[in-house]
Formats: sequence, C-alpha cells, structure tokens
Amino acid sequence: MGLPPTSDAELVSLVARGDEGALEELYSRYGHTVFSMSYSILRDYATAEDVTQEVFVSLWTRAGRFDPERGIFRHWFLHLAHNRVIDELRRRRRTAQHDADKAPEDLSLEAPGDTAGAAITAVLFGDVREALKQIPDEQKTALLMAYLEGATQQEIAQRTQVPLGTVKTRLRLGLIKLRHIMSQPAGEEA
Amino acid sequence: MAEDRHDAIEELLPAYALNALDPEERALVEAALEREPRYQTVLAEYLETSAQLSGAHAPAVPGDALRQRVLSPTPVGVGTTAPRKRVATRRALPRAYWAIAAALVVAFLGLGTLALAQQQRVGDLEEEMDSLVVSAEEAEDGLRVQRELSYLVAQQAVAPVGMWSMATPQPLGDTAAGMILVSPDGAKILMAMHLEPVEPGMTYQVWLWDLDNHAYSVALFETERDGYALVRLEFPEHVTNATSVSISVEPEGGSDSPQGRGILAGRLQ
Repeated sequence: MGLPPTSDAELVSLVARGDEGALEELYSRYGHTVFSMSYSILRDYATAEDVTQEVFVSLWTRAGRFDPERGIFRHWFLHLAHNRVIDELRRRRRTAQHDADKAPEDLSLEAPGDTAGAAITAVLFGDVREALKQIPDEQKTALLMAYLEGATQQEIAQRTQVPLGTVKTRLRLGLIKLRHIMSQPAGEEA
Repeated sequence: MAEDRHDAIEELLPAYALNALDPEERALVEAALEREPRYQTVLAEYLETSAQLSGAHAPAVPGDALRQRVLSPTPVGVGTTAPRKRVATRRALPRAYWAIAAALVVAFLGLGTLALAQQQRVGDLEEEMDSLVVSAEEAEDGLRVQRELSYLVAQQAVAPVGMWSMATPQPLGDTAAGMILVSPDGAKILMAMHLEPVEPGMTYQVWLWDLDNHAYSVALFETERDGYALVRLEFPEHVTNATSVSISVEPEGGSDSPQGRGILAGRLQ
C-alpha cells in the first residue's frame, strides 16, 4: 500500500475519479487563494463566495482535463479560477450590476503611472507587488488592465490608444520581465 | 499560411494566460493547444507568472460555510433550484454534471436573415459537422470533439453557448448534449442531440432565466432524426438580464414555469 497522496497532481487525479476527500484537500490548499483573488477583483463578498464555489465545481467536473505532462496543477487551476472571476466581472459589466462606488478609484488603470502604482498597492502583496514596480509603466498598465479589470487586449488598445500589436507586445514583455524579476534571488537587481 | 498561423497563435498566448482574449480568440488558442502541444511549453511560462499574480492578492477569509457549500453533494435541478442564482444566500453544490457537448448536426433551416454567403458557409460547416458526428459516436474523448467544434464555430464567427447535461455521468454517446449558436444578426439556434423521445402527451420546453430567477418560455419542440433537435429561440425583447437557458420535459402545450425533469442547462456569456 502506497503512502497517502500529497501532490496536487495526485489529488486532482483522485478528484477526476470522484474522490470528494481529494477535493476537500485541494479546497484546503487553494480555497483561500481563490477567494482572496475573487474578492479582490470583484469587491463583493457574497459574489466572491459564489464564484469560489463555482471554481471548485469546475474543478470537480474538469479534473480529468488536467494533464500533469503538460503543466503544473497550481498554474492550470489558478488560470481556470481567474478565468471564472473575469467572466463574472464582465458579466456584471454587461448587466450593469457592478456598483462602481465600491471599486476604489485607484483600480481604474486608464492612466499609467501613479494610478497603476496605487492599484498594485491596494490589491497585490509581497514579492509580486515589488516586482511590478520594476517593470515599465506601459507594460505594467497593460498587465493590470487585463489581469485586474478583465480588459481584453482590444479594449486595452482602445483605452490606451495604442495599436493592438503594441498591446500584445506589452503583455508579452511584461510577463517575461515579471517572470525574470520574480526568479531573481532576494536582494539582486533584475 | 501555416507559418503565419503559428505566429498568430503564439502572439495570443500571453493574453490567453491573462484571460484577456475574446471568446473566439480563446477558442482558437485552445484548439491550437490541443493540436500542437509545443504551444503548451510556451504557455507554461506565461501561466507561471499569471499564477504568481493570482497568489498575491490581499488575504481575504471566506466564511466557514463556504467549505460546506463546496463539498455538499446535494443535487440541483430545474423546477427546484435555478441553474444560476446571484443572491447572497447559501446554496448547495450541484452534483458533478457531465460536460460533453459532442458535435451536432447542423441544418440551418429557415434562416432568412442570413446572407447568401453566410448560408454557403453554413452549408460547408454542416458537412464538417456531419463528419464530427460520426467521430463523436466513436470517440473516447468527447473533449477532443468539443474542441474541434469550438474551433469550427470560432472560424465562422458565431458565438456558441454550451449546454451541459443535468443527468448523472454516462458514457459518451448516451448523454444529451446541446449548444446554442448566436449568429451576428442575433438569431439564436438551439442544437441538441441524444434526446430521448418524450412520452405521449409531453414535450420539450426551452427556458430563458434572468437575474431575478424568473424563467421565460422561449420554445417548445419535439425531437427528430434519432434524437436530434434544431430549434430557433425567440428571446423576449424586454429581458435584458438573461443569465442561462435550460430544457425540461413538460406537458404537451408547455407549462407556465419549469415543473418537469431538467435535461440540459447552459450559461449565457
């Protein structure tokens, strides 16, 4: 008899076979992260709970799609979760249900510079926050408009009044730069 | 050209990792990822960074009841609980439902609003769909067929809405599946397959749900051609906050509200 499974990949494999205990363990590992992201972006406690529940429903029904040969579960799952959060954000915009008064003004990223810095401070913590401060403003703005506001690349192009190709480049370079900074040992310049 | 297509897909990967693509582009990328695993390698690095963003939010703690909601095995069905309910109340987790959405036979009949060129494209699409129907019957991986369908739909610039079976998981080929296609001019067509014939005196009824959990009847239909159905849906113009669509079995002539067994449900984008 083998040791109890501890890796995410082993747990998601069990979830794919209908193991509710494995789902519970994954909720213990990721539930608060997903909820924190949901609440941070949606700014509504009840909706964040609903979305978090729906994310784990998606995990329950789509666990079989995860292929450990193709990537890391954490990355796949948080991408799925973020996708669900952004779907909800866009849905609320379309139905005009979003209460603009609840969203801090500093989360609007139509202008770069200090506004983006305030958004980072308000929403993101730790090494990521510090790393974001080190990437060029235009890349940072594009990244955060996409990631925090659910803007499509076309919407980013329209709002920042740059060509779509420029937005694509900024998103790509921004992610590459951010990844490079995050991979540096603490104390080293990127 | 193939090389241009390769570049176009790779260009979309950073935005895909950030969920910054529209539905058609997303479908293109996912189909490409399925066909050419080398894109997964490129995408993996972008996903690592986006996952770091996702893990860096100010900590917020959900109530203890959320854990119970996530793990509750209580099923949900049409006529008892709405497919989607956006209110701050506790609700049970729906039992795992089988997202199969196999390929569908397309017979766009009576679509006078489509231009001739679009109808020709629809005809081409129908031929490709027919071939996918055959492979869907034999395929072990319904997901592959689903992705092929999504790719085709994306190429035709129509917006698909998948409908998921509300039955317990069954082998591919036995479970009802459906999709709603929305044409550029707003026409909405429901396509469904593997529907069991209803008993005498009963009918299938399609419901449109709004944010207030009110259900509007938008179509009645019978199955044809071995369980296939193709139905034009008429959404009430005054309903501007529609969230989902469902199908149930109701008495012949239809019901004023969903009463019978739920068959399929899907969320509108």
